[in-house]
Amino acid sequence: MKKNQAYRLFFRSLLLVLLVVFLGDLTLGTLLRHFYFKQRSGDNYRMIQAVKHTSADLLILGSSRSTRHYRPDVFCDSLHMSYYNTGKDGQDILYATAVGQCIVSRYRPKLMILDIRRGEFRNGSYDRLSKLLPFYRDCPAVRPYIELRGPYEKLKLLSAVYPFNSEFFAILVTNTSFNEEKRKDDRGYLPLHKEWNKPIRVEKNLLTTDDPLDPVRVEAFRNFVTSCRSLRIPLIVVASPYYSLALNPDSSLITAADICRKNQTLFIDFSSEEEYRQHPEWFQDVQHLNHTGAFIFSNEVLSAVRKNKSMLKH
Amino acid sequence: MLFNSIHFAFFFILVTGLYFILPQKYRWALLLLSSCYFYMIFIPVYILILFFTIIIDYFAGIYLERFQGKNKKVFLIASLIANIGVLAVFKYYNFLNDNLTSLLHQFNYTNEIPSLAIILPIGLSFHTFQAMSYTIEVYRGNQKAEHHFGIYALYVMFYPQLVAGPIERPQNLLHQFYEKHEFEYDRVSQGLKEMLWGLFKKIVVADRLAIYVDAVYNNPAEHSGISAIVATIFFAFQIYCDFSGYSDIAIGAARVMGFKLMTNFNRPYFSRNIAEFWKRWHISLSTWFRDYLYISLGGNRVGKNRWYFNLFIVFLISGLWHGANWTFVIWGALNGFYLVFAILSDKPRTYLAQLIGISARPRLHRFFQIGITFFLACFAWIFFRAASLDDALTLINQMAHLNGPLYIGDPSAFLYALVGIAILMMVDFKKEFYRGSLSFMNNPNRWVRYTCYAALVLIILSMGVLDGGQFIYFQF
Repeated sequence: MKKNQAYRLFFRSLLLVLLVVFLGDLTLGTLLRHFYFKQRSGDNYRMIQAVKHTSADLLILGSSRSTRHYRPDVFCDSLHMSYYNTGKDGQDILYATAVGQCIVSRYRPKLMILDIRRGEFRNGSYDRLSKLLPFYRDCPAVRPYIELRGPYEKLKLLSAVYPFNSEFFAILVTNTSFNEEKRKDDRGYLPLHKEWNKPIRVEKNLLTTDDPLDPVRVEAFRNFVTSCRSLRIPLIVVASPYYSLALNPDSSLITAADICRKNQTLFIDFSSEEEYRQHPEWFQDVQHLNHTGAFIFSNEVLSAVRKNKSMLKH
Repeated sequence: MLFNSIHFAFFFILVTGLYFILPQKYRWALLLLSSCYFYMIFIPVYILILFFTIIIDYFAGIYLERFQGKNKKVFLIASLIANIGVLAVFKYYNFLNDNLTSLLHQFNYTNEIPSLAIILPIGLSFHTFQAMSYTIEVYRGNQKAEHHFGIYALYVMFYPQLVAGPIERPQNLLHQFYEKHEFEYDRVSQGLKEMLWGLFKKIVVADRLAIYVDAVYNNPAEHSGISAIVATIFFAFQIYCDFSGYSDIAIGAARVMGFKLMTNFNRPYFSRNIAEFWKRWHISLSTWFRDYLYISLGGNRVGKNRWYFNLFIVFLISGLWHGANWTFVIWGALNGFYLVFAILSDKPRTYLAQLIGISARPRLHRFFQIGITFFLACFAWIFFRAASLDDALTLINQMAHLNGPLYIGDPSAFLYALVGIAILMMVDFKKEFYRGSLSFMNNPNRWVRYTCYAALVLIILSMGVLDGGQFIYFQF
């Protein structure tokens, strides 16, 4: 075969292959998108509710700790507000503030509680923000977060399938009632019922003031606090309890407290509360309160809210 | 630069495009520069190490050809010392130092020699062996010394196989840099198909299985025996797909430009015995050890005991080549033991097969042979993957008790892993047993081929691990 002929054949074949790929991608991507947003329960459903649908008065933001620590019955009964918990397992401040920014771009909640963890501003990858990919198209607030994942993210998002990477089986199952009972939640709250029975953990590797913090995470937190302030949305930042003993102060919490103070935002730190370290039966593991512990903690947060009502009025 | 990255996709398209545009006499320079760039993406300064060994081996090759007798040997030894020395310092120094510390501690002495805080240069073990094969072949008179410094440097640094092989031989690769490669449709499309299949193995199968394997192997005491068994089987497929996937991409990328690299994997889990396994697994490394260590020790042309010792020692060193940890040494020793045992037990096993009548049923016999070989390989993989000897023994202990529920983690991730393995095994099974029958990727109908390519791309996009965001959330 002559060289020019070979090139022509190759590029013609390549174009045809790309066309088939494009059509397949569009078809599969459209189907995945349609069924993704039709999910009836589970992790993704809660995320969709949080980002796109909820109009609850009280919103809880954060990681797996926020989904376990803030009981809706306690808050709803006392504050007479509707409630939704937007926390998510395995996520951090970037996810929480991304969801928070999406929410405040839609409506003005009456109160938001952002739960932050020790080491919240630690350096780390942004890969877990992949969970927000399905919202890239429809929620502009999410885009700067997703673009943190890498310089080629916009290129990858040309694919209709890419945002639903690794979601195929979840979409399949949660569009049916298969095992639906196991995926139920109470307005986003996911109670834990076991009790911790091992000795207290001693935390030796918390970030000290000498350790560099991730400026991106710090900035995301700061932006969210100032957004809430400028939109006059009452925000409380809470560090909930641990069943562990910290040998040194955590620089993430120190930084968060400082940002809150500068923005006249209420910050409450329960992370080193002695009372919780006396009660392992309030915890399921060293990082998560169980349903009983969540009741006690939720009431303590409520008391703090009531004591600082003036701070919540911007 | 990782093969499964968009950066590499741009790099490959650009380099390949320029390769075919440039006149033949400049192509080596393009490939050398792009290989330097490829390597320097990791840790730029480490290219100096590479050039140190390249310079020594380049001149060693030239002087090896010029001199005879004892003088000739001096240059070979100098080259081997330089290469092995670099390997020893960067890969084994801290391992040896730590062991010395432990040994001295037993006698209440302290080790004053400090550890080195260095990162292992990427691909060091691979390009070192490739460089050594050059000087050894020149010494043996099987290869003429390369006088063109750029071509020799390219032989060591050729980017498709620089980081993870196949470990090439100078007789196979060097002359190819002088040949003019035209753009041929069939060869280019075959190369691209190999790359696509390699990406599937790496992204869909290997990286997916790694999530489960890491969850179990990083917390061995927390997991049940059944989970440990599943994780070990998963690891067998993970390492196969990771390694062979990389090889496929390397071989495919080279083929697109017209270079033929050696086959590195040949469906090893269909092997009927350990000897066959090592003819199908990491072929470039096993043949390297055969040709440069095993044969140099006398191979099987010695007394029986010495033969067994040769086999055992080659595998022991092969284990150490893989990593600076006693677990790798044990892995290598186990494989050496398997081989020696297989030789010693050949007659009794044949007799047993006849006795129970299985040798009269070849398919069933083959099935059992494949199963037993896979089991032996998996058992050895426990040591290869475990972080320490303690972890390996913990896992074996868990497996022996077959206790506890199967850890699934994220059910979706588990299912993707099974789907990936199923696709892989279907394709490998067909290649192994039904070679002449209908193929998808090589089907005569182009629409069947194109649909197959598209399906693979969509599977990669929908089921592949495209970043580090995939994880199994582990709760106490």
